[in-house]
Amino acid sequence: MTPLRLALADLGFDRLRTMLSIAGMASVIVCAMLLGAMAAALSDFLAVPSTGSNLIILDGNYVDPSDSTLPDEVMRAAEALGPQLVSRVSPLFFRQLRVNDRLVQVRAAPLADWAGAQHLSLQSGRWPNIGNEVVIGEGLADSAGWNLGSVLIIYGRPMTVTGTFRSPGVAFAAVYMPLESARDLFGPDRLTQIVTVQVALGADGETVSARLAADPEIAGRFVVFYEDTYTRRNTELLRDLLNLMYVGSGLALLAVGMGAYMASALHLAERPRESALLRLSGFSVAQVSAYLLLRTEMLAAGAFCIGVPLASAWMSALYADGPAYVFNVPIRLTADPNRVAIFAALTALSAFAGALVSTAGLLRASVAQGLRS
Amino acid sequence: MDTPPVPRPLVDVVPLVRAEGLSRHYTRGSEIVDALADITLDIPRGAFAVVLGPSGCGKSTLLHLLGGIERPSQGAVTVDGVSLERASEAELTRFRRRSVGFIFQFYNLLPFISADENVALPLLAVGQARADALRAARAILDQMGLGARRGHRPAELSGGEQQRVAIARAIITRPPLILADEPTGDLDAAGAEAVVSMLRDLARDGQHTIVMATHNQRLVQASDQVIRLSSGRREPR
Repeated sequence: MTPLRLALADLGFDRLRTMLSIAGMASVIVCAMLLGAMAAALSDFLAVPSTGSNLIILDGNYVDPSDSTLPDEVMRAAEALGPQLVSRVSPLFFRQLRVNDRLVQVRAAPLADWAGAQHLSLQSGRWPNIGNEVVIGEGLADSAGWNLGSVLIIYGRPMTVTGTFRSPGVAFAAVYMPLESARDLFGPDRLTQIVTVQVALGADGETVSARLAADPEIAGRFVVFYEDTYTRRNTELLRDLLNLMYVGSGLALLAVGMGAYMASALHLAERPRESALLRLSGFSVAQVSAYLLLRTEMLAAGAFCIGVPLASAWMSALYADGPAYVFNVPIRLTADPNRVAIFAALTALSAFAGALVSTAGLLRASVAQGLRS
Repeated sequence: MDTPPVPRPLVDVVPLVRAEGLSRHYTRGSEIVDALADITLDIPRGAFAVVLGPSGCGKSTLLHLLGGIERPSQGAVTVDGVSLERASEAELTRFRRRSVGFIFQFYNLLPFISADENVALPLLAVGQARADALRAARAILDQMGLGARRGHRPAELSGGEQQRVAIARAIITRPPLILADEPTGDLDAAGAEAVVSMLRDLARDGQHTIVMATHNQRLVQASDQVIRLSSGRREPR
């Protein structure tokens, strides 16, 4: 009888115990899969492409940039550094507004700066014309269910969605309109909350940053950041959460190994005589170990076969009424085949390790000891 | 096709089992317990030897040492040409496959496989094809009158039937030595008689040497050799 047949017969004999072991491991696998999917979704969101040495200037006294206003002198101070140091200075209008009953970031910048200074790339439709047209981030399109042609009521005015864009950072969930449209909608005052400074090719970002920070129009009231640094600072909490999810997912997989260890150790503790009998019948320690390892691997495989569809169904159910939100970031949870394959390998590995540790004692115990148990 | 057994002389020049100064100590806390002390014995091939003594006198320990499932603390034991006290785990596995079969008071069958699979285990352990192993197992079970029960699991068999399955498992590889530890202890008188008779026949055909541990004085009558133990020591004849 091969170790495989023995393992099958054993698991089939004590069905209740087998089902309980599988259910226990499956619940942990579901946790690992969900945490892994959330971590992957957050990781995708946080994989912000570098904006190089772009600088931003904001009012250092406010937590939310939408509460502040940057005077024209700030822009002029940046422009005054000259084309050797600064290739573009772009104002950004920034408000948190209720749009069609959702709290949304509305941004506005000169159309000419969208692809460059603002890092927007069109995903569908077209860029808007000045007037009553806007584009929306693909994250917002996903979460709000808004499409091309949707009409958004912004600040009391209906505006049509002409396209969707992709962008690093949190702008993916924003509405963008041309600065001229914003001026028409909100009035000419308080239109600049952030100034983006594109450092000229070949210029040193540190030098530009230091010059800006020392400028009398800026020093003391406004702060200069590398745009990357600012984005990272804004997403720090999400990164912490991402790390927690990775740790949680890893711990869950470790728990699969522990579950395998417990299942195998419990089996050996409760039924040591059976292993001893196999050795007595001529099975080697390696054959008995193989039987116990296969038995544990089959439990883990059963748990995986139940856990993965269960986790997938759960993710689908979560996504049926829209995406899951983590700190207002819409998270699309998917059972990515590559991730499932990695989880399968890790589950098998952790179960193997767990069973190996528990069966190692077999090599030390004599057959007689097993029979006396 | 099986050939008829060839009768062999009871006393060989080289005995099948030879033990010299065999001892086994256990540590229980700080106390050292002598389970077996200074046992010397020879058992010739084809003998039906009985290890006789009260419970706790070391009968099972002696059988464990002779079967290579426990190592002696001192002394030497050679069975079928293998020095068990020096054998590695791999050598002991080979020894158990080739040279020894075990029968126990409580049968010690695997509960989750059928009677014929239990009997076939020693053949399957050495890699024999499953179909062949099961065929051989069923042939033995048929001989023992258990043909109709071969697909049953141990829990579905009576004590006597389970013991016959255990005997079939012990002899399926035709090992020269069969160690039986109180094989009749859990059986009624008729069942016990049948088992002893079966073991006696196995010894009589010359292919097996039987060493049976028992506390039942009456079984001595069936034996060729008696090894009396008391408190882990061999009593003088």
